[in-house]
Amino acid sequence: MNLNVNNTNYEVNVPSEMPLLWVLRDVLGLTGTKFGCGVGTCGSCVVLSGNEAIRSCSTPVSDCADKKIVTIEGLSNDMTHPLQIAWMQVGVPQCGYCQSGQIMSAAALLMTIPKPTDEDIDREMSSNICRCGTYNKIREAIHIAAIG
Amino acid sequence: MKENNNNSTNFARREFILGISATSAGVLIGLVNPFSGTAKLFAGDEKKFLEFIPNIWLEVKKDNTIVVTCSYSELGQGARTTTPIIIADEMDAEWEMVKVVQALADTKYDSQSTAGSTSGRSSLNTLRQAGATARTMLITAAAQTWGIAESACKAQLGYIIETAGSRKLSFGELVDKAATLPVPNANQVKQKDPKDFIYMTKGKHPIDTADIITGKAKYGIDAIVPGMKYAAVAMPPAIGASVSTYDDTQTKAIPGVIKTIKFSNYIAVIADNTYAAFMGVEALKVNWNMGSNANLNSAQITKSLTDKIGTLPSLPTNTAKTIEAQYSVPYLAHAPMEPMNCTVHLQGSKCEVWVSTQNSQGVQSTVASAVGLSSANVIVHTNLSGGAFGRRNGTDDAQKAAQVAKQAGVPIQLVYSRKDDIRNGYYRPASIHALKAGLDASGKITGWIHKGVFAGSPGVSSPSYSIPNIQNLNDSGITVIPTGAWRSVSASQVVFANESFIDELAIAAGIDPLDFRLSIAGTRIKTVLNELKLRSDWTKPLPKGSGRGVAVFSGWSGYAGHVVEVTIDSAGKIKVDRVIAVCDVGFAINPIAIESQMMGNVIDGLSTALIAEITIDKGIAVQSGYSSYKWLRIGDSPKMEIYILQSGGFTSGVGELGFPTVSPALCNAIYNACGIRVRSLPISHTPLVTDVEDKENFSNELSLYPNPFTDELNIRIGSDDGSPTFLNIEIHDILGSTVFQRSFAGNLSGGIIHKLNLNELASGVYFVNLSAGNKIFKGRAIKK
Repeated sequence: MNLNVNNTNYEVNVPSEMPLLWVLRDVLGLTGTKFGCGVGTCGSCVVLSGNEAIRSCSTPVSDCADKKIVTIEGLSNDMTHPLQIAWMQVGVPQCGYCQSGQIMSAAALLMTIPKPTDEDIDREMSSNICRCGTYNKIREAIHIAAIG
Repeated sequence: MKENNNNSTNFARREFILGISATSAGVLIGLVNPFSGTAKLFAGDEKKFLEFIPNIWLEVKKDNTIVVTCSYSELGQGARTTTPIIIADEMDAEWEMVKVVQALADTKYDSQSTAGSTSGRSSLNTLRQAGATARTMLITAAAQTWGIAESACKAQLGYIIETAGSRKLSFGELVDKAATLPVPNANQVKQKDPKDFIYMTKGKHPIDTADIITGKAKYGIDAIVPGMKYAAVAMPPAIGASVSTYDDTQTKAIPGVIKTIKFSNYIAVIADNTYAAFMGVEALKVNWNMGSNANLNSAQITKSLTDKIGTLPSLPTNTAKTIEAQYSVPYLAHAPMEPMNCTVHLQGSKCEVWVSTQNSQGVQSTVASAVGLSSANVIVHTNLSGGAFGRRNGTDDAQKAAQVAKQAGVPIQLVYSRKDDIRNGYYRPASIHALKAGLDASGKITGWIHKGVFAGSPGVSSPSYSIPNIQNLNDSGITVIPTGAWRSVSASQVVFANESFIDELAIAAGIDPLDFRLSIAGTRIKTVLNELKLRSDWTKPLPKGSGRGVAVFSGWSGYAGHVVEVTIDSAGKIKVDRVIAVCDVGFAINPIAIESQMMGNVIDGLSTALIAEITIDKGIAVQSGYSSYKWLRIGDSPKMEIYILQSGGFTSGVGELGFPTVSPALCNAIYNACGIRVRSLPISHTPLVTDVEDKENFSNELSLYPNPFTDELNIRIGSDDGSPTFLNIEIHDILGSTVFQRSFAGNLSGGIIHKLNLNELASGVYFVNLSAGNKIFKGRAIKK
């Protein structure tokens, strides 16, 4: 099947039920999208499908055939996405493992709510766990990105 | 700012340099101990040096970059940022000159164990000396070049400048000269006055941030080796179970599965990708020898702990009032975001390993022993760790990956599932703490007895105050469930008990809990308490239903405390409004990293106090993922204020310092808010309401039974409204998060019974909202 990831078309020969996460990581070598739980509870694997944040660990690759998938590697070519700029400015990460999922979830949030309130952020980002506890810095960075 | 952290690149580059030196008749001076090293010489055509290497920690290159080697693991605590900060500060380098590379596992760095909050404080002096040595040699090189005294030169932002003149040479320009100089003895090297530090004072954001936010950062699980296959494992269904026989017919039918390999207590499935490996494990039919723990459960473990409490000794005779209380805490899993994993490439007499670990030298010896090589032939690349919290001291993932790679004959990346991670790791032990103390007629403490019984190694320690007649008594109950270090180790349990009990003593003595602590605290704890008092507006009254609690503690050479503010609503839901954290770290190496560690400690402290626990049934953890082993989400993260005090004279650890006082400060705040003393964690088990009937908040028409319930909860509505409607059931936890939701068509008449299967929910107190149109029925149920 054909898969469009970060504006590149890939022809992948995998079982249709294989979750997008493992196609990205193990087949295409795009390891920026992370495996955290495998069952859609932690948000480490979030990527964009069009304007929508999806959990790639629980999305069969066949669901993505006619979609434009964007991963952390494709968010911008040169680290100029407002969220990346804000993440640099605030210095959000600790271990950093969950952050690509956090950023991709935040990217989807800003596409639907360009100027989110704290409540919007808390609601829309509630499915992304950060074990290091960077939540307050994530909130701060999303506000900065929304203004910028 | 930083070099690609893919260690294999760095390794190849080193080999390349060594290769050239061996074939170009150059002189290569080996690096034997950290401070006897000197340049790698290249006596080729130009008789020039490529780099100046005064010691194993840094190299200065002609292009003016300084490559700093980080010997400790990066777990999110900031080792890869703090290491170059120290060296750049001592060298007077420009920050942008600095790149960091990760050291391979190697005893030349001494211990690389990144545990016990040691990486910053134990390396500080060594790294300062390394940087100061380099600066001294660059100054000598400039002085010799200009024919002036060294005292007439100084280092400044990447240059050596003539103090009284205008001449200057960049570090890069001085490489040729500096590389020929002998490394000075330690007593000839003067470290900077701490007041002149520029990077340590303000700190730096994590050096890997840019890589992290572009997906380039390489964690253990991101290793890719040509020809690599993926492995997942069928883990024992009870601690101590072993494999008897198994049938892999269905596993082998899964596209991508290559083979299965049996080991004594697990079966590996090897596949073309991780997904096929995981599916292959699910499809295995295994007959396990269940072993001796197959019927073990939490109730038995708890009983083994309480049975050993016994009778506590007597208090001194001047005791006028005796106070006793018993506290308990559960097992905790680490659950780092990156599941345990390891990649092993065995190549005959050499083995290469990529891993996220706190214990790279431990991985080296574990793998060496598993594949039958000497440690010297095992090359361990320490990739970034996606969290650790003590879990990555263990090398069980590396051992399995090495065992599988040896049998499979191909490079193997072995990954645990989240379920494997939570059920088959090791835990912070559960423990029970019996405390007894006396107050004399004036409210002063006469004696303090603390007996702790642990489902693992015991570790009762004294509270951080001046208290007479302290007796710490330790014992262990059932210890067959594997336990090990978890952020702050035994302080995580002991300080909860100590700092809750101090609060109970203060209340018994009729003295404000913070003032009571001040009256028995030493100088540095007093400073922390006074800062907390000031920053929290401690004496300012809070609205009804809200409360403040305080706790303080000394450990890892530092001092810390928290004030937590909570609001308990009339239904018993809790909201943490604000957390004030104060730490005295002596001398701060990187305040930005300290702030992050303190924030992380607050989230860990609140999560473990409120909702997280591991319970055991049939010899294994009941929990299997983040929906049953719960952690705070962003909406639960309170306002935080972090104050870093620097009283000087020491450097403390910070990764664990800020954890132990969060849970007692929270429970003390709950007591202050509603008068309920929570002595058992997690708090979610304790209804935070005094009025159990609570007609105001809970509806008469709604019955929930059985209550408490085990797996199934029945809902009955005593209404006579038979009109069709949509019913919506939502269940919230004590933080107000929705943990269950179901909508269906129906009506409210006839006492409809809905049976909900809630076996996925963790034990604790839950709030049930049933809405139909504009009618809302509320109730509360407790899951056992």
